[in-house]
Amino acid sequence: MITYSRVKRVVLETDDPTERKIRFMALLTSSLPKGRRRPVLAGGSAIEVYLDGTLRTGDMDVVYNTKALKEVLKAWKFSLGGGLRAWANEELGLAVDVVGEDYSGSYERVTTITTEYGPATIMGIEDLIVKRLASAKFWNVPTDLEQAFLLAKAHDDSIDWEYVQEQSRKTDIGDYLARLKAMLAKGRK
Amino acid sequence: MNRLGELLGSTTRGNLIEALALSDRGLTAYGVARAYHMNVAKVYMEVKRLEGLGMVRSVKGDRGKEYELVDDNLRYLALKLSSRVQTYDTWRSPESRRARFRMGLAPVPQFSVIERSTLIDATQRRMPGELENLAILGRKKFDAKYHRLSERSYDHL
Repeated sequence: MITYSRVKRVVLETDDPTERKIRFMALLTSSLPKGRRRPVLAGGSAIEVYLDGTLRTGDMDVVYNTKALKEVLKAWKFSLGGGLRAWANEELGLAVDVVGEDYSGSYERVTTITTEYGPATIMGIEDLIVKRLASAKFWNVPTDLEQAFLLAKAHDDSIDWEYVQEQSRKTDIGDYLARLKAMLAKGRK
Repeated sequence: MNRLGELLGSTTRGNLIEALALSDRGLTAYGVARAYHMNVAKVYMEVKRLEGLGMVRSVKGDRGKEYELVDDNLRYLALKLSSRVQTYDTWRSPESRRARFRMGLAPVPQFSVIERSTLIDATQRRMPGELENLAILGRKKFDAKYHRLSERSYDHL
């Protein structure tokens, strides 16, 4: 496992909070056993990466085996914060939400960013869009529709829309996908 | 006062430039004043001053005289310092939290707690084209940082 002093040096070397998250994910991946599925950065932090900090979020939702992830976090001086899943390290300015190992997206669509500290795996844009649309519809969070729009608009050229369509049908958010597409079409005019 | 206002020495000027930077079309002085709860006369005076300096130009729009930012460098600076596009340092400050509530990243409708609790205004305030601009900015920053190796693989530059 990579030592905490190295993690601290690498993470704090940059002032850019999104960069810190990428570096942390890369170091985390390098510290976990090889051969298994890699930890995946999901949720708002993944959107933050795709928009390179244009949208800032708080904690990092990490999908991985809970036991193994907690061991590394403890070794890196993270402690359990307010929630049951949120681990925080004030010194690094990072908080990790241990989501569990059930990845609800498609592993085929994750994005891998190669860094000098290892690879960082980010949830696929398509799955993030679907999640945000579902949250907008079922949890009535209007900013999630905005976030889906930001992602779709920024990375329109690399999105597998057929997959998004299919997932939207399965999760019954076709109406929100239509709203998103209308927003995108309006922006193109 | 937000960071842009602090730099420019005036909250009105800071808000005005932020609004014009975030929008992809011209805005009236009245529209900006309304969005930021500012005095219309103050905004009008400020926009005239900036027009005189050549930083802002006026165009005839549907709702009267509309103003646009002329200088892209100023636009970039405004986006960089905008409370809507935040750095980690300011993220956790109480002022920043209040700004997030106001601006819609964590929208909380405005309530009056005098006498009975009343919802004043539940609408979100986004400048026209603001989301499009943020998306374009995000993509530009992403492309500047990562080199595409294959469909779903990037190299950190």
